[in-house]
Amino acid sequence: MNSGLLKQQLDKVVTRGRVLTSPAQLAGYNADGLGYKSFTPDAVVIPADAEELIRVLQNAKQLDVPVCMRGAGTSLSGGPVAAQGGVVVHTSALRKVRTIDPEGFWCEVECGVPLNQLDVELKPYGLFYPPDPSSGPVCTLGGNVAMNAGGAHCFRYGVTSNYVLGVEAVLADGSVHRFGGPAGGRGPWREDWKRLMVGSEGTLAAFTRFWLRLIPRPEKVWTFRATYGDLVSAERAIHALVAHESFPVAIELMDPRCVAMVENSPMAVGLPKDSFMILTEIDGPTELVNARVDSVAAILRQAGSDDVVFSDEEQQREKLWKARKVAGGLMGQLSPDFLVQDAVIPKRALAELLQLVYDEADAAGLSAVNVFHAGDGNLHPNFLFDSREPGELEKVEQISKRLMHRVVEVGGTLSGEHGIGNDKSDYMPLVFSGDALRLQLTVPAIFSPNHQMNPLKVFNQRRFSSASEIANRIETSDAKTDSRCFVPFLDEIDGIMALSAEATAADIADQAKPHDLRFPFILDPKASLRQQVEASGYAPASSRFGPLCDNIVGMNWKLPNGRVIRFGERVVKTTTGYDLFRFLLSSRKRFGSPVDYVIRLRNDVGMTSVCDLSGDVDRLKRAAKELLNSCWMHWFDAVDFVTQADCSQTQLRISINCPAIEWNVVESFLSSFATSQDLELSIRRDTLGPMDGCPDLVLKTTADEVISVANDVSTRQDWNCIGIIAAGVVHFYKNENTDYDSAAFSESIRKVIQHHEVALHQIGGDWHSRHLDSIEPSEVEAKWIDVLNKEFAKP
Amino acid sequence: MKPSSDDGRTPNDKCESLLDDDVLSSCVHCGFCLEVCPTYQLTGDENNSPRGRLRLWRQEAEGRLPQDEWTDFYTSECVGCLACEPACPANVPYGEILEHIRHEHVVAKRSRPGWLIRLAGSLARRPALFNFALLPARILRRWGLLRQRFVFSGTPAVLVSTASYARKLMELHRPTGPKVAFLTGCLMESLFREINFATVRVLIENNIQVVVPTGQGCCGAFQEHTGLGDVQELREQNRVAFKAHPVDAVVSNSSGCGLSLTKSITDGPPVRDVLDFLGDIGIRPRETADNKTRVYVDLPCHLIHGQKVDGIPNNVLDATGLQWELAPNARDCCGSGGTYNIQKPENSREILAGKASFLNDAAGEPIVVATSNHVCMMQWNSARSSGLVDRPFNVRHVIQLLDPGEQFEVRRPNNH
Repeated sequence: MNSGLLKQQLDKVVTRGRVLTSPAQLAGYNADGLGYKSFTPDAVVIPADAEELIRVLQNAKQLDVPVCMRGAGTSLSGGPVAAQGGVVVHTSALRKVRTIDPEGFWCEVECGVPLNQLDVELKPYGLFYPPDPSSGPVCTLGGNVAMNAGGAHCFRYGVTSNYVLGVEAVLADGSVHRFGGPAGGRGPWREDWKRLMVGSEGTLAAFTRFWLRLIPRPEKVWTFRATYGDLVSAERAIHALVAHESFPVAIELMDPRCVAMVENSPMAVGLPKDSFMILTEIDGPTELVNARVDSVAAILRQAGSDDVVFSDEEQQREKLWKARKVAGGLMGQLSPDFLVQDAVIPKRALAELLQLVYDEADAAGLSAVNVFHAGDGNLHPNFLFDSREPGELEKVEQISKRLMHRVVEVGGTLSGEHGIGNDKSDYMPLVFSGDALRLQLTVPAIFSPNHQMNPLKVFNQRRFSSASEIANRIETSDAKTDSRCFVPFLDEIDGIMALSAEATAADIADQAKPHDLRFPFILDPKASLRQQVEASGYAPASSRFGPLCDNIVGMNWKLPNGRVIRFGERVVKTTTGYDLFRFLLSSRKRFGSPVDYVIRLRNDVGMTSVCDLSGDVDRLKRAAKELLNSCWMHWFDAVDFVTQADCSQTQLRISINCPAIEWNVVESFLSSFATSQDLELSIRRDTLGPMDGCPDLVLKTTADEVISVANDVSTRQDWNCIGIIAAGVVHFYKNENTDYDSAAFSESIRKVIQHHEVALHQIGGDWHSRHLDSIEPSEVEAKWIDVLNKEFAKP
Repeated sequence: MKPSSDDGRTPNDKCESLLDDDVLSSCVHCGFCLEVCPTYQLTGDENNSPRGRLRLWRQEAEGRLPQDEWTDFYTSECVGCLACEPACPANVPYGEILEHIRHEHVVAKRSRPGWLIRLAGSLARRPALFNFALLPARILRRWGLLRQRFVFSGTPAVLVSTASYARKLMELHRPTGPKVAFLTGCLMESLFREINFATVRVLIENNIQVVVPTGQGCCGAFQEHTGLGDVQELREQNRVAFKAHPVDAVVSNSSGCGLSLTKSITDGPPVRDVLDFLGDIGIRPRETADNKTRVYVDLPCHLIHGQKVDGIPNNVLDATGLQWELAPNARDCCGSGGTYNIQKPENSREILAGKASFLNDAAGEPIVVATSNHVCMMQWNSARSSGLVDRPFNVRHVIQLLDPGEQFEVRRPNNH
């Protein structure tokens, strides 16, 4: 590697930013949040702006060295480091929040914006961006998107991939592409490429900016802390909290070793040293949340705690969180190095995995403390060691390997939020082999076949070599049946069910209802799940729970070659490998077909009621805007704008599933809301929730456009519309007498599309109809699809 | 290897002695320091951050990185504001480490402070000489003839020392309340003596007994910043000088000097920032009809990050009788860094730019920037000549806004 030549080349490209090449300058960049491994780059570039960043990549081929993107360098998986040398591109100068659109509930940010800076700028609008990794004060959105970051509050609010509406990606050939945008759809593409980008760990592209979804801030927050003498009691509390109507935003567990570590330090807060500590938090509209406080406290007590404390006062709440928040830093004070794992497991496996961690650590003579995001099963065992002591790092790595084996065996995944990076790539063979591995490696083959972007990350096979031979890049390994395919099951603790893609609503309800679980995404009770996925990626309940691809988490998929392999997981949180699962789910009928789905069930906490607010369109628009800005939105399954083709009625239709004891609070809110908006309210209790049927056409736009688009199409072009407002989706239906096979019908759909397509594509939206073929791919996209087609069809 | 918690000590305990590997390895690389570091904000360069600097120092100490002029450069770039310390979840004693490394670099001639700095350093060690050398400057200042961008306006006494002034006022007014020993400082006493005089008046007016120990000298902050030698000597000198007086507290009117003094006086009466002390005691409010002046309060880094005090107490600021509010970004560094504005003028100006630009549109006539550290005042004063602010504004120490003037009566317990 001729570093003089490299510097020369970079100096030509980066004229306003900085190029660092001296040994000491490179030494500062040789690690991320995992300090004990060093990878020194050959050069570091700090581009002055997006334009310079793009120019670096435009010159990547000539530079002929690996290119590794780096945000704040807080990754815990050896991600933004030059594992194979090359150039580290530090995005520290790209830190502008470019646009905040409170009406549309989105913002546009550059990749280097620190998370907490975004939060500060959003506060005046009463909105927030929920994913909250604990490195929030420094981590960048770029790093978050690359790793699909999570955080303590992701149990209810979700992870980064649930909030990325669009990505501007720069590929290794320097080309710049916008996948999605404010409307959060595909944009002018046939496939939903942003699904592959999120969680791709810098291996597919550099990101310059994002469009992110925003939601209203909670009005009221209560934090609870309780300690338990044994794991069984703590688990009792966890399981009860998970099933409770208050749907906590976070459920954190610290094991006794972690508690002892805190209590033996100057940060001690007075917890009993041999205890398990649970920290949980509920939030929402004041009246609703306050009504839940006593029952949450009761859950914690009844599970077996005699020191339950809780508060809604800011300083008190900070104190309650303190023990949890100091744990990470404390480890640094006690030990020169520590390694944190990030496995996600079915919650029922917690006791076994904890015991395994203890046994392994004790046998090796090392300390281990455990922190568990109990809501979604994300376990963080932390091993304390000294890398200067011969053999200790190796011991820790061996322990990790055995741990990961067991994690995969019990149905878990390798990483929930930290990413695979360079640190966990050794474990990928536990998860991917045969067709599954080959198809995973196909993804970087599409965009960066010589693995120039961040090599040796995610998969060890991803090694950069100057001689690029695309055909040889993808490993052709044994084509055998995937032993990891899902078999039908129902895990009532996690609320996860695996069943045939041909199953209908009744099949789901039969199994789920006895456990007070439901799948609120049914559009048509007679249609199979597969048919519904083919019709739309959304249902009214997407207002609360997100698109279908956030509620189906895995599947068995039949390849064109006839073999069936698995995509996705049976746990709700994963950043293990490329998100081919969501990509294929959005693609629907291409690249193969679904055989079985793994779906995420939701709590059925009581009766479902549907409340209709009637009035003219202008009043409904105003009311919708106000409702969307209120944190009540998080508690309604659906808030839909409903209009008939004959304009006989327009209404806001609100669906809610709530227990009897909360009905008064809900009804009281809805009544006063209706009055204040001058709308008529009518309520239907104990219904099944809206089932409008499979839509004939779906438009994806921004939340503030839904009512206008729905109203416009409905009045001018004779369609019935359901606007799923918060999701930015409009479902269109012709009436039942329509001849679906007629040319006139197809023509009527095309008319709507023609009218809206250009505007939709400009904002990163899209259209989809189960009656029509998708748009023709562009030349660029056709090449990418070609790579996928070849590999998927390979015998 | 067992974790070092067995004896209950953390790296904080260990830092009094030589820097050792364990201290340098207490950093967990979390990066929380990056967003509060002024030089990282300026440059976006990982090396120019606490985490980066610690990594370079650690790798060099462990023999994994040879001595490098860039390590020297990044070491010199640090402002020393200590904002990283409260942000650090692992409690890395960054300030102490920086001090050691700076000194090591001077000894090894990797850092070569210029002649002016060296001269100032040697003068600081000799308070009497310093006072004498700056006598002409005091005269010029008194007559408003000293035009230097860092020197804010004021009327210092030329010949009378603060010590003798305090003795005179003590005899005249005979306060009976708590007793404090007062650090008069080196630069403060030799150039900005009027602030010391104002401090004495405010203390005595509030019934506090003031003693100015003889034999006191520079607190050592200058040596800490620059890495020049004799820090221990200066600390010992002050330890001895202050020990001679049994008092309730030792007070300083310079947040930076107060912080350094805490390293001299480690057992005995607490070392307090004078405004923080007055906030506890409760002070007589000034009466004023002035409702036009607006005061923008800035918080010195070494008060909030170093001494870890919340800020300047509200009751003290209210007692000025003037309309006040915290300046925007009051908790951010102004770029003074003690000697940083002389050693790294471009960085210093850029850091100040972020803080000072609000003055161009700030409400009030006149407007005052008030703080509790004379080096911060010097930095703020330079904003005008640096072209960062294009309207006139005054720079004051908060204690000057509380000053009763030469004629006052002591506030006794049974008369308010």
